[in-house]
Amino acid sequence: MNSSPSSLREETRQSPVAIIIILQRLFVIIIKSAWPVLIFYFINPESKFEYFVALIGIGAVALSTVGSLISYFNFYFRLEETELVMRSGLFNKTFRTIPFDRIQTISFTQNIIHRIFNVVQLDLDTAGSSGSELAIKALSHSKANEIKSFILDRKEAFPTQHEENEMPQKLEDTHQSVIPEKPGNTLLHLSIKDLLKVGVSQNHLRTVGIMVAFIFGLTQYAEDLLSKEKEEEIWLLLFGSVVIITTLIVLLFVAAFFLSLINTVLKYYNLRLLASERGYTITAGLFTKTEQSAQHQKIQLLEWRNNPIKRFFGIYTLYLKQAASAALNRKRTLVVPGCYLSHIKAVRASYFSNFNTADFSEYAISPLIVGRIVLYLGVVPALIFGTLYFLKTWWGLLLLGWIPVVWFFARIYYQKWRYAISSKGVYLTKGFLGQRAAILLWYKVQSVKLKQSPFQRRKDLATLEFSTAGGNLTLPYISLTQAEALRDYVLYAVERSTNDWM
Amino acid sequence: MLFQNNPIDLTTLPQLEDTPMERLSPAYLTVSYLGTAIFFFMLALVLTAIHFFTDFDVPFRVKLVIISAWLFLFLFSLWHTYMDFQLQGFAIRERDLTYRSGVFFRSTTVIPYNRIQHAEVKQGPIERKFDLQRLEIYSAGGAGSDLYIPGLPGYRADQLRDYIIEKVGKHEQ
Repeated sequence: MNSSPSSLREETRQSPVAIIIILQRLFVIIIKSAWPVLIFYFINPESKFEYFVALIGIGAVALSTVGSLISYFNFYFRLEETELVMRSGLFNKTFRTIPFDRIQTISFTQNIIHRIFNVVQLDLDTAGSSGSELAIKALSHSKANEIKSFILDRKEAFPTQHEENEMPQKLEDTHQSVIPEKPGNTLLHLSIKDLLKVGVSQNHLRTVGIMVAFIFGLTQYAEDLLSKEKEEEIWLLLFGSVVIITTLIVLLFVAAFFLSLINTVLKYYNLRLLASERGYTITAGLFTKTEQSAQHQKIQLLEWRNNPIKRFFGIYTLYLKQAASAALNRKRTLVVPGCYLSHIKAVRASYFSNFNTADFSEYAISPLIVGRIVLYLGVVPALIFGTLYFLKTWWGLLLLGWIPVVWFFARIYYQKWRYAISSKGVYLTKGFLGQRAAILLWYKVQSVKLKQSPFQRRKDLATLEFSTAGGNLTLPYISLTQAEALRDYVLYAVERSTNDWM
Repeated sequence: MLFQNNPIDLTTLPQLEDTPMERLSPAYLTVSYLGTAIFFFMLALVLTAIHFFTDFDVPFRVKLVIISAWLFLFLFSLWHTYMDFQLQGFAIRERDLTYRSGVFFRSTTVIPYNRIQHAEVKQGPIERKFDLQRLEIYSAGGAGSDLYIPGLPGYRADQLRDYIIEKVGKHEQ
């Protein structure tokens, strides 16, 4: 049993670079909370707000400087035999101890400042209760590695600290969950070409949506303008505004396109998916490099999606949904954009051994779902908004045209919905413009919920929902008898399973 | 590898639908009625206060509509509370725990014992007066998959918790 290097035993501060990192963070927070004032200033440039802006600027700099110095000089950590102890706070001292065997993942992240100064942020995540993460904001590479290997050694040296609460299997897991020392073989390396494909096929509509409010504001303005003008001039104005709005929409799409493209390049530049015996590690990023990993046993659910553009390129986005507490859920999902079918098959094979479509029997959902979608998303909104507009003008009747549109897409949605069941798990495909697929092993299920609306009860239908520690999987509008039989079977499979779900 | 050499006859599996459900304590119905009544009483209080202390010019017809809406919703809530009580139930089986609820949108949640993270018994001030307890069961599946069984007689809640903890403990060994 090697004892810790004495340098780690003593109370240590972070690397002084932490001051800059905290300063930058605080500054951003302060500026963010002051933005309404700034906007007010930009709207009324004549108002004597320069003082205010200057004051906010100076205040932000001063506050974040003081704050970062205080938090740097009052943060200490040291390593004990079996735990990490940290002390912080100026007036209220806080002590926190984190037992090594509670630590689930140790990861390093670097943003641009870290990279300039060649330091790393060390994140220790103890899965479970919230607020259990600890970040040491800046450490030299060598020191971070020293700490990591020390913790890993200790975890092996003292394996049975919490025997009553944890199964022996789990300990092995906790060790495995740490990013593998040696990177495995690269399963996927996103080339520049594929990176561009991913960027081009982003959901631009979402980006447009963010900016749409702006457009609505403009049309309102145009209407106000119109009402003031004389009859003869209206057509000219109307034509003019149509041209303007069309141009704006085109510009909006172009802007959205480039925004998502830039965002993609920043996030996914040089993305690598590494596969090792223990699990997967993904690294990516242009300025801020991120590294995330998931070990095989922690992966609860696999999902992959495309959209029409992605389908054209033949690429998918793959989601490896890991077990995590609810608050951390999004962070713990590994997102792998730009996967080809071969990559998905490789990952699927490691999650679902001996995957063979012949073992599955495929089912469709009830066609009655079409009527319900048309009712809730088509008829009801069309009637409400249609009536509102109809009271103003006859054009309101046009909104009834929304109903067949919804019907058309609801039909496609229904036709594409397929789920296939085997003794080991469920595999589903759905979508209306693109495709979505998910796969779940029964023994990963945590609880089963059977739901029925009054309509479903009349028609002997049910919606079955499987919860896992990485997210839910829902089978909507399936026959009640099948839902009940499936529930009984899944419970049987879970209850007799000897596999650990993580 | 799990069931491959082990074909099973689906009809021989234990069927949850056949399991009788245990009802909640009748005192819980009283507590629920009380809760509904208190809510509508407060609402009436607020409306009366608005009527007397502000000078909104509300026509008599509108007032009539508001009062009848209040009355209708109150009666509806009482009926809903009653129906909800009739339907709520739980079942303890050898290997899992089930809870059913919902008047219109009915749902039945099942958590196997070998997926339970922890169990808790809770009691609010009104519940204490009626010696009622709530049993809360948590799995790792997130908020939507947790089970809350309200309106259990005190002794029964403790009994259930101990039983479940014993079952969970057995699984872990």
